[in-house]
Amino acid sequence: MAQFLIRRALQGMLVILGVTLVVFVATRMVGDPVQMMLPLSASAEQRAAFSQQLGLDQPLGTQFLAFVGDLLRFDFGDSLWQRRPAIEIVLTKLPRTLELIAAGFGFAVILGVPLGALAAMRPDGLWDRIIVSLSLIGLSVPQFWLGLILVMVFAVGLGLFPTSGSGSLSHLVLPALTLGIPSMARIMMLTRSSVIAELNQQYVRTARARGLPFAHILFGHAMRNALVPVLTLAGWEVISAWAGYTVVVETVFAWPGLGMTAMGAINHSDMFLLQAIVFVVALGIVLVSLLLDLLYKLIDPRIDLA
Amino acid sequence: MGSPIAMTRPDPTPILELRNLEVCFDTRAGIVRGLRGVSFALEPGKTLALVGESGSGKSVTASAVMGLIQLPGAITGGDILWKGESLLGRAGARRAARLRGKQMSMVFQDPMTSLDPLMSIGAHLVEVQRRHLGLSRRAAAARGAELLDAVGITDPARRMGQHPHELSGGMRQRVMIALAIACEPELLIADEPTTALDVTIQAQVLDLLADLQRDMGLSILLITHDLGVVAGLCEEVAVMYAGEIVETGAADDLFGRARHPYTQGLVRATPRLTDRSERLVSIDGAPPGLLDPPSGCAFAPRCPQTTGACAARPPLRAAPGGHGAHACWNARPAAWEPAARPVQKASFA
Repeated sequence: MAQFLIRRALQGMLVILGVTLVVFVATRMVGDPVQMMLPLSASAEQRAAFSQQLGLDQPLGTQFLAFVGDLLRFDFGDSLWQRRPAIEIVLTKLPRTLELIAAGFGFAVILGVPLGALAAMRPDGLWDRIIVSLSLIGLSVPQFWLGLILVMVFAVGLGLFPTSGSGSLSHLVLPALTLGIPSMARIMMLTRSSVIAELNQQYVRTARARGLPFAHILFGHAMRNALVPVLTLAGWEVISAWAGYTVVVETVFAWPGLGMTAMGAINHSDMFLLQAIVFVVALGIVLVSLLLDLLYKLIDPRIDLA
Repeated sequence: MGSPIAMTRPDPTPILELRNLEVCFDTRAGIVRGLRGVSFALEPGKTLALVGESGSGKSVTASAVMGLIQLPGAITGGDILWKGESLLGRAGARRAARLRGKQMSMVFQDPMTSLDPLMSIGAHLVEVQRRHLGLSRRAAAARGAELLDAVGITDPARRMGQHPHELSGGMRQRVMIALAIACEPELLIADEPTTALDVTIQAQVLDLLADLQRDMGLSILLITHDLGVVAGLCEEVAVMYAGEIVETGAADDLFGRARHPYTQGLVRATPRLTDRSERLVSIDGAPPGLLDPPSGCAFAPRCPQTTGACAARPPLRAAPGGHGAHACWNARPAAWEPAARPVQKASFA
């Protein structure tokens, strides 16, 4: 176990280093912050001085080594856009994004798993047809469009929730739904097919022959077995929300989290802030996948972590 | 196919009796008639073997008794009686639900997939005892270890904490047997309990079943295609073909004095150590599809001694002057009789 954790920690560091390297190179190729930050009238000397101040006049290799050195001290430099330490900005925005993901993902799991199981209890039954149809809709809807429709119906039309912004629980509802609905549809479909498959397993037959009631077999045996693939999907859902979907949702709802900050950093060619964001996102992904592996082990004793 | 065939004295109430049982499966291709009127009776403390090739309806019979027939299958006719009381219908289903896992239990063919892979052996044992015997967790665990010991599993305390994947196939089948006898059943249905096991383990498991039967007074319905197993363990035999019983009799008699050409073919197709001939005899052809079963004798197309009478379905009739019954218009002693028994009794003891 300890060996596993150490190995995973080393692997995780490599992943994070690789990701930061890619972002480091990409940000330096895409936009020149000097062009963005200084007025058009700035002289060549002023540009050179600013470039020197940021360290951008150094060779790329030297810059990267300095970057990694700073990174070990958790120093990402000052944001060019907001003129304060980049990591400070990230840490103030981080809780808002976590809040959004927790609400959206919580909704997806709390509804998706039981509804999927309900559908599986009687394949092709009434509930199954209703649930499968709804999840097909949820699966096919693009997220940005879903967000806009939810705003139109529930915020503009019915006036139940604010259209955008943050600060209260009612602000959270629409962005969380936008993030959670497609996720819920996928979790529901997978839970359904996974539970159906488990209910056809031989061990379910023997459990019935032992006279155990159906509810006991479903919740005590089949569901637990069915959750192994669902867990994989759930992990993927969290990671993809964390690393992408929140950008869309936060932009649609002006939700002041990491995703919207990342958009701002890109628009302002704020390479330091962007590097800090990507670092934190990569760290999050590494931690979530580690947590997933530990959960697998907890559910399934056959899984060997070594 | 009217009255049930009592296979020995009709005197004690059979623990299990099937009367003209019919099971159908409503598949996309049409209605498959899995059982076409199966009748037999099993007396307390006895062992009855159901033999026949794959698809003959042995396992469907077992599933029907255990109430495990699921859609698209359904029991469409006949009756299942437990000590004279029906297990079908609304009241019967309630009765069956109380019996299942407690008074009657089942051991399945494939021990590798019959246990919940995520649950420890102990948890399986505790679960069934808590359910049926109302034991406390602690008492059920203690008794569970004793049960493992009783089915010949060494170091039961350690095994209780292990998971199915940590056990061999033979051990898992022992665990399945421990689970099946945990609530001291009166009837044990064993559906090909040794098919998935190594030959040496097969003998051990059969010995275990024989010991349990002696010690607990179990009645056993043994489903097998292995005539050697039958000879070693069973008193009565019913031979199934194409969803019906074609011959019944005492195990001792049946092999030497089979009357039905199908049984004779089965016996001849069994390899024998005493037989020096090089080729195994097989029965030509394949069993009929049960999607549209023949109206006459189902074995007629493969039968070496058909006559015009075979166009009508032969009923299961008591053999004249003897033991057992057979469903054949032209039954006669096998040409090769009297032959040595196919497998010597207790060959695996």
